Amino acid sequence: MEISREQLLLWMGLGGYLLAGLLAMVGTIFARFPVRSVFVSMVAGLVLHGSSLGLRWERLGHGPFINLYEILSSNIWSFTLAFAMFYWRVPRLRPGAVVVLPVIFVLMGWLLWIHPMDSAFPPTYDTVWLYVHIGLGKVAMGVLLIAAGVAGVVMVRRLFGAGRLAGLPDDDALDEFGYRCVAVAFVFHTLMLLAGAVWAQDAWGRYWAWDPLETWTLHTWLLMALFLHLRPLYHPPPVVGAVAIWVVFVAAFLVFFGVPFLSTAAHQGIV
Amino acid sequence: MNLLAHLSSLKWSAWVLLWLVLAVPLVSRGVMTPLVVLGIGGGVFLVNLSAFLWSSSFFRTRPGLLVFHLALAAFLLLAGVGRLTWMEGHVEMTTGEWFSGLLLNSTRGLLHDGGIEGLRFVNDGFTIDYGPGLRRGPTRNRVRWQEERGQVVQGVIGDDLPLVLRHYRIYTTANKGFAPIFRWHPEKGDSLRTALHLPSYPLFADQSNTWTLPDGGPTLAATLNLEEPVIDETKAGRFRLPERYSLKLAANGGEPVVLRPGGVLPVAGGRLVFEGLTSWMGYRIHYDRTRSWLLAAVLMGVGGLAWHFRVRFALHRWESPKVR
Repeated sequence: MEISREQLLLWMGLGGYLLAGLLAMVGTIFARFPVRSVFVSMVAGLVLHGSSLGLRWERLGHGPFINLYEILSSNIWSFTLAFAMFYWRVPRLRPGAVVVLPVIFVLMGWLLWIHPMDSAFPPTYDTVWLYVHIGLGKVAMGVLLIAAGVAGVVMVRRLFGAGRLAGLPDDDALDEFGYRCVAVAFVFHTLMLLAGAVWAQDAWGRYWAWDPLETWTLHTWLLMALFLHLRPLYHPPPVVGAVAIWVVFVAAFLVFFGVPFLSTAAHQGIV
Repeated sequence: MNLLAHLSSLKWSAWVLLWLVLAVPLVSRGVMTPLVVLGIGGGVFLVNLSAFLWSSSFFRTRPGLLVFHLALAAFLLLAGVGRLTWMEGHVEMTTGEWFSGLLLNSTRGLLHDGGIEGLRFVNDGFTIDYGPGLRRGPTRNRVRWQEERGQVVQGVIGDDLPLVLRHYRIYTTANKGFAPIFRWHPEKGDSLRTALHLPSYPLFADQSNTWTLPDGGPTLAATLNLEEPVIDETKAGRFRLPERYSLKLAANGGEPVVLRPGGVLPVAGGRLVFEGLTSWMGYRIHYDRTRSWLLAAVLMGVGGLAWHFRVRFALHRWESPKVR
């Protein structure tokens, strides 16, 4: 079987992410976190994977956001990019990589099971609003992933003892950081819904039609709003806040990667 | 006063959100209507927000959050007005046909009075490119329309580019096909030119349809026989009218007759002349005067919220404990 340059770069990129995750885990176990090696592996993976996506974009003439393979692949890239920026800018939370990168591993495993079939670009997708819509969605989901990673640290400590991941800030600080991430994700999620509505108006002649993806995306928005209301109202302990963040994240994750793939098009049946 | 305090409780906001979280998924499953779900949620939210604004100074120190909540209230009210004045409908128009004001189907709000009957536009024909595997490419539909001062203007619409007339947005759809043209010569009275819209092409290979001529005329069944491949599935192509074709026509369930352009079918009460083939395009027409205002409300709300979070998060570093 001949392997294309596109696939080879993809696998090398995924190898980079895998190496970063393994280094983070080993470093955590032996209490010597290899900060630079994890970052370099992630960046190398991003460059290689990004090159693969670029080759595909060039070959097909459209971005990687039509079928499941493309959406998964581009989201693995954007999630890792979001996490790499967070890793770079927030040094105190770098060991959170042991929680975040395994989530990306799940997506990587899923990606390898999918045939990398080419996709067709429907004429209604030929608008700048599609790129704005997708870009904002990726930012929202990337920030939510970071919130889930931070919340995961709180949950790991609860499950395996407070001494775990001791190099990270205390639970109250992590709780506050997770809350702020959800707040930022909420803003971008709102903008993503808005850009999607602007696109849908001219692509399909309506800005809202309660299609499954629209409905469940609104549902995620409402869950985030509920989370943002409940926290100042009831002041739950960090572990409850962490569970709530994971509820929001899982809901968003299922919408992002579940609902669109009940059909082969992101918005079911509408091309 | 107790009632006001009760109505302004923040717990109502949480209950509203919980209601929406539980009820919104039921909308897409058709179990509940958006009107019920958003009506209940929006109504309680507006009462709660009004009571809270009246009784609490909470928002005085949080102007961004106030802007967000007011924008959300404006959004809900505008969405309500939009549903009352909204309209959506479909129409099919033969090439060369002016819009008659009649729609195939439509749904409209109780207060819709946009005057769709007054719209004047004509379908001047279209092209659609296809890729291999019948992948539909861009639609370019030539149209002319009459502006309010009577001036006739021409342009090209298609896909995400609508024709906008008096706030009606007219979009082409993927629904289009062939239309045989006939002239019906009744034994008494004037002749009539008419077109029959065959099923959408290339979606349906069977190009058959039936219709009844006016004033007690015969019921006819027509099947278009394409004698050449119009769009080759294996390579790039374009929707076009075929050069070689014939029409199988049967009147009142009788024996079918194969006609070519110019062919005549004598039937009880007159004769029918098959003049040739043209195309038809299906349009979606959408009307909502609140669109731009909704957009403005959302932008204002998001701006307010971003401002609020920016200010609140700048007050304390996240590492500091007890900063909620």
